Amino acid sequence: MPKTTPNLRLVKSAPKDELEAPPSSRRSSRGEILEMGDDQLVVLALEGSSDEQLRAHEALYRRHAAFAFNLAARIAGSTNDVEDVVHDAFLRAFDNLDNLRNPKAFKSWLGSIVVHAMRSRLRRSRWMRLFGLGHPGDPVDIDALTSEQASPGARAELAQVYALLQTLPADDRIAWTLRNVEGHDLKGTADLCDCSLATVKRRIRRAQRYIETHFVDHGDDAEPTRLVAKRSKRSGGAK
Amino acid sequence: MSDERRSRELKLSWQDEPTALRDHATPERLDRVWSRLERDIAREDDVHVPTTLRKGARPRGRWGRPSLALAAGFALGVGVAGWLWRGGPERPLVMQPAPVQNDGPRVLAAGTAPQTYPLPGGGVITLEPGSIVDRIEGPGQGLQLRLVRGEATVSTRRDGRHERVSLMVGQAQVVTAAGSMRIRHDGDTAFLQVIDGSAEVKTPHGDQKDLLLGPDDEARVPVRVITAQADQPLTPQRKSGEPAPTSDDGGSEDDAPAEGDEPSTAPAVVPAWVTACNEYDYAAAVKLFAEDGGDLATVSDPVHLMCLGDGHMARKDGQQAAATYERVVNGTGNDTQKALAALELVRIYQGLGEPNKVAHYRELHRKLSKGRVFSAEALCQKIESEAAAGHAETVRQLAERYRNQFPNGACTQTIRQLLEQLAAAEKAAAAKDGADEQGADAGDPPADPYDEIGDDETPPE
Repeated sequence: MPKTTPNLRLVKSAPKDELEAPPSSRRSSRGEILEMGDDQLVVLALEGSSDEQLRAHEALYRRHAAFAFNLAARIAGSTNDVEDVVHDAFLRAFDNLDNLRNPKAFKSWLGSIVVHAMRSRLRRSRWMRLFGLGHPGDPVDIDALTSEQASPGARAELAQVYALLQTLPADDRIAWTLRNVEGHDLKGTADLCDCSLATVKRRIRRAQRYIETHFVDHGDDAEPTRLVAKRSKRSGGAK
Repeated sequence: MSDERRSRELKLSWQDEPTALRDHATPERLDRVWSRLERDIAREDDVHVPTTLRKGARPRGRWGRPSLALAAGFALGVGVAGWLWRGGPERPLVMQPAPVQNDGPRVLAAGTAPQTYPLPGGGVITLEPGSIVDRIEGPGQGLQLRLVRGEATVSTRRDGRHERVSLMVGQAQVVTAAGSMRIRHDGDTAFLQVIDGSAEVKTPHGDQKDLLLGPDDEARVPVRVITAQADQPLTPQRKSGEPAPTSDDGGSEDDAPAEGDEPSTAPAVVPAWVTACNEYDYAAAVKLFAEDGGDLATVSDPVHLMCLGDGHMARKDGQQAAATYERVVNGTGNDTQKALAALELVRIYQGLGEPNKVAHYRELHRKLSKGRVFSAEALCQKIESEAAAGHAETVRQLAERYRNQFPNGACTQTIRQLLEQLAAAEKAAAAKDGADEQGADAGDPPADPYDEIGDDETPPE
């Protein structure tokens, strides 16, 4: 069995003979292709005619592009270069379809490629920043991240959380974002991060602790007197 | 502690909002990327992109990884040597644990409590709860910030260094080179108070409306070019000793247009009922509004509508008040104003015995306020800041308004304490004056009215 690069590793593999083969004996119509499962599309993309391959690729892309775009943008905290990341991720995925051991898991495999790409970008920009090489990294673009329906409170919270996330190591930041922004369960987060459950838990916990320490949120039941005093002193002092 | 439990402890409300995050997969973006992919797939046989992962290509050969490791080791060695040569321990790399690094994040925000950030180039910015500030440019030509929403206090003083800071609010620009200023985004206008030093304001109307403010000057400036409304006076300038405009007032009688105002953007006369609103005399505002024609359809400013609604409530006219508040709920105001109006409607319809409407507006209020009483909180903060500034009369007026609007508000007790302390301070001051007049020794100064609510973290000055 050919080795795969670490980011392309699948946690769970299924024998290919268990998969339902696409109707390879005849040309698949566009409608049929759209109704196929990911596993069938993968097989078609590998074994179909060139036209079928293109359609299978497009079907896979159309089905999972939204997931990839949102994943990349929410990890980055902006939409800068997101199209490049998604383009490269799909290209890598299509080029390595024959290395995919469980074609049913195309989505999570694609997700792990996106995560790996984003991780590289974050780490690169962090190192560039540390060495003062002038690349400040992607700015957090809260307008791009939040929808028009987001409440002011939600926007403020997200802005603060992303500002904090920017200062975290890439691995911790990604794990926390996948878990708390994207809403993946721990197992899914571990799969996307291509690491063990224990590792991803440790990363999330680290990021969580940092955010809890630095996030300013006294909640609705904050004692008003203390806040009053703080504000009063400051205002009074400024006069 | 489990991650789930910790997440709940943070109380991140956006996690309960399924629509808070934007969907980035727009059809245009999907098509754009697909057309790129399609081109790449079509020329797959000719061009290998990316080459290391092409079909059939094996991962790097048996010497690939050791070579890479060797190269990485060499690069690391060169890097460390270079670093030592450039300055070594004298110039250590410092990772700041605080959210602001040398270059700093682009977005500064405060959650539900004030947050202070250091500014690149010196100085600090304090954000009030729910405020967001964007950094547009870094130091060099001076720092440029954009107040997206909320209220911020910018101070450029730090260790004797004065850095020019420019703060954009909508299309208006406020520049301060040495000093501190407080600025609040109120939608179409911004309220500006210079605490120290000076600030130059460039409004979107052009140079003829620029302002130069000195210490203790306050002004309300337009932040975007809007057509004039009879109920929306703009660009006042006054000393901070006078009653300050609140986030939900629209100006006052002395909100006369600055010299050089274009007639198309500034009102000639401020209606008397608007003046009454600005003086918190809502019942009089309703009376004057009725004398002025009383056509509710001509009023669109949610602040003025709220004033009239409050006036009707003060006059025990629930039906009229409901009609006015409903205009706010269905109008163009922000969520906070609508939430407040919805809350008032809940109370009114409870009194009128209309459970369906009560349920409807309660749900609307819940949705708009996300379970928080923004308006009560904002009013409470306003009272605190006025108390801190020593504006006793304004505090009393606002406290009365708070009691009327939020009889069971969380701030009621605090306000009562503040009023007692103000009264005690005034009494002590009067006694001291009396003693001075009689030639007696003044004795100890009056007690600090805020001692009782002193903060352990901030020693009394």
